Amino acid sequence: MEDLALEFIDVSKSFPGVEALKKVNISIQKGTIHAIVGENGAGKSTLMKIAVGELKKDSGTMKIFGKEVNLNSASDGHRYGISLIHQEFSLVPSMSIAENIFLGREPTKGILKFIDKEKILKETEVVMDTLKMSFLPANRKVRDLTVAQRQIVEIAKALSMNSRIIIMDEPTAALTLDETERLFKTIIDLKEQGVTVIFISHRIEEIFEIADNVSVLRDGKSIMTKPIRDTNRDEIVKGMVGRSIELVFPKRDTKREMSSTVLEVRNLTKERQFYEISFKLKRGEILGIAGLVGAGRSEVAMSIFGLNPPDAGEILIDGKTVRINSPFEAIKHGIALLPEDRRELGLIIVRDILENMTLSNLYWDIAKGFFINKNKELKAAEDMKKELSIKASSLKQRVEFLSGGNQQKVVVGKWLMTNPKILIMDEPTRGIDVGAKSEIYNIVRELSNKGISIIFISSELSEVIGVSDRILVMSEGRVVAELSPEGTTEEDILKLAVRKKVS
Amino acid sequence: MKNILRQYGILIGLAGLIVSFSVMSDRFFTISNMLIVARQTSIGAFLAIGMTFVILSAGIDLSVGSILAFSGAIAAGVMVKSGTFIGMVAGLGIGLGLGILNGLIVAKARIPAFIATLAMMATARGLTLVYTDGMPITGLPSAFGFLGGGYVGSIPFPIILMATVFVVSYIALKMTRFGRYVYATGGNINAAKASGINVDRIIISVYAISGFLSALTGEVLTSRLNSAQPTAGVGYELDAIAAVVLGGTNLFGGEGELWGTLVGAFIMSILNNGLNMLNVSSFYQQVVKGIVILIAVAVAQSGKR
Repeated sequence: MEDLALEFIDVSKSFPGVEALKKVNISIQKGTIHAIVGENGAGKSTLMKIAVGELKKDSGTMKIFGKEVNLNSASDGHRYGISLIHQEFSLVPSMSIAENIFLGREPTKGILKFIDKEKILKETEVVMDTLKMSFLPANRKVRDLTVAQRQIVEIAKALSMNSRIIIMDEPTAALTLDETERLFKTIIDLKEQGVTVIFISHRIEEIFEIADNVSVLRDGKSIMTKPIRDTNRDEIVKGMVGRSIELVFPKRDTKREMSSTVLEVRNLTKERQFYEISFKLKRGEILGIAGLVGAGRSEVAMSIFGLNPPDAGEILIDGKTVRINSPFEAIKHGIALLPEDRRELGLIIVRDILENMTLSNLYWDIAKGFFINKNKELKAAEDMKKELSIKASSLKQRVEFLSGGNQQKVVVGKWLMTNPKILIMDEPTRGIDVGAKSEIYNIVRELSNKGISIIFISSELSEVIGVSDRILVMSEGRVVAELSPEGTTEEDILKLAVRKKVS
Repeated sequence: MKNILRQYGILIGLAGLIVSFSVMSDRFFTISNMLIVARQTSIGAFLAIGMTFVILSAGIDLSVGSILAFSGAIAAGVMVKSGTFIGMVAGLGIGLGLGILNGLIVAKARIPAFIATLAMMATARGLTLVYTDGMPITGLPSAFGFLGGGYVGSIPFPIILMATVFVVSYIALKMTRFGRYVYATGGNINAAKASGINVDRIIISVYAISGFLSALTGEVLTSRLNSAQPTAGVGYELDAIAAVVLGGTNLFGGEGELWGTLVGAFIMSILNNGLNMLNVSSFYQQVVKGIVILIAVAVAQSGKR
């Protein structure tokens, strides 16, 4: 019998309207680094929250070090020696490293139970030392730490609770390459100390660098668990997406007419965000904008849409200079923005599909004369729901409970209802599953065939190459290259996108 | 589905309250007493309806009681000199103006609604005391008495006024673009803005509505008492908020129904009326009201999960 740290047997979990996990079976060996991969929405985070007791499973069995457990809270998890380090950290910025590590379980002294500050500092130093981070003073405030250092503090916190299993949810998402390397060293140190590390990621390259074993989740199901040396990139990708990835992009119709310039941006500049951005967008063209997170792409999009007034530069629509000071004016000029943060800027999640979809249209059509034309509204929303094949029981369903892909389609529908000439899509496939992704690609292609011009911003390079007619690469607030997707590889773009950083 | 259950829950609560008071007192469930209850409800209902707009937009208006008093005093003061109509217009105008001021402070100066309207609550109360010199204003024109004490047929006029305000507000919330925008702004102000909605205008409007309805309440009360009292409406903001919350509206905005608020307002006044009939001391009434609100909201929340 092999030595297992953590075992899931037929674990299932549902949320209203979604089956998040369907009979998941995964075994994790003691003292290994175990990667769990899957697309967004595959159920990775749900499974890990169940592992530490933050969520309760609906059915199935979970064993920690061979013992069947039923966890009801995160503190239950701590008792069994299992900790989860979230993507968004749970540290208090105004407190010191030491105070954070002992938050909620401060050692006390004397009859008045004062906090034993010396003990906290001393023990913090010990644990930071095992992580080779003793150069950080234990009394430094967390708000003065970098993201990577905060992560280490989270790990230190887990270690000081005697956690023998540490789960990290996408720990490298916000780190630079250097920081990632350092984090990997820390993880390997942990392994040498006998700690089991579960590592959630969707960057496949990373996994080969560090993991001993890998499990793949797709649509809430466990697809496979294998030693990393017995598998390869292609097998993992196939496991994640359920088919080979080349099929996803719709064929580009290169013969179609893209003559007149619909939008032109000249020397658009906003201090500290982007500089001298100039480009033209033709009728029916799909212009991809690639770049790293923080390259200024979203900021440019928001500027064109009236949400982020630029300091200088011009925007021309159909050859005429326009001033766009609000989304209202942008809509008036036929511009729509599918925002990067769907829940924050795209949806009113407590309202239903109908109200979300028609919201931007009301002024222009459905409620032109102040009163809402309910029949017209219902028909327009019903048609759009059908056209975009939004899966929901009715238009009265709250968007909160829709899947990411269907939520995104509601936002797309909302903007299509404003009859845009120009649709800016900022990371339109983020957080949605592969099936919905390819539907979004098809929608993008169809819209462009109908003559709508599209600015397609994405960090997924394969997607930018697959969808766009032309690609701009941005780096540190500037357009550094214009490419044709033909013959361009992901590596080509990546080199351009990071070029400035290196020099 | 759960939403419907939650709101029928409050209707069941209202029915339960009526049945229990009817059993305990045979004077309670009579036409004349029900009309009294409805007339009493109107005072709270105007405020609660205005408050519903504000809370749906994810705001709060603590100044309704003070605006009520100040508008009532202005109406009375002007009326004594310049006649009923001008007085009424002056009072409503002041309420509307202070409401707009609230909205401007919240929307443009970005001061949290709680603080902005708390300041207005103190300021308007102070202005009332200054204007009245702390004394009631009396000697109002007799025609003005109709507003709070008149009848149309056998129905007290405030009830008709309440029905009118309710219907107009309901239409505004449910059938117009404005209503949609109120829900959207309260549900997610950033998304509303990014959808092309002028959210500042929506915020100013809801506080204006609340201010206007506070002034209307002030005038009905002044008419009913045949005098403007400088301490009128103290604590009314809490009853209004309680009615809105009892009615199932989400305090964080974006969700809620106007008829729930009306039921909530009825519950508040039935509690008053029924407990009076049972000769419960007004001290204990406060305790009972507090507990009822707590239980109702706890039940509503448990239905939500």
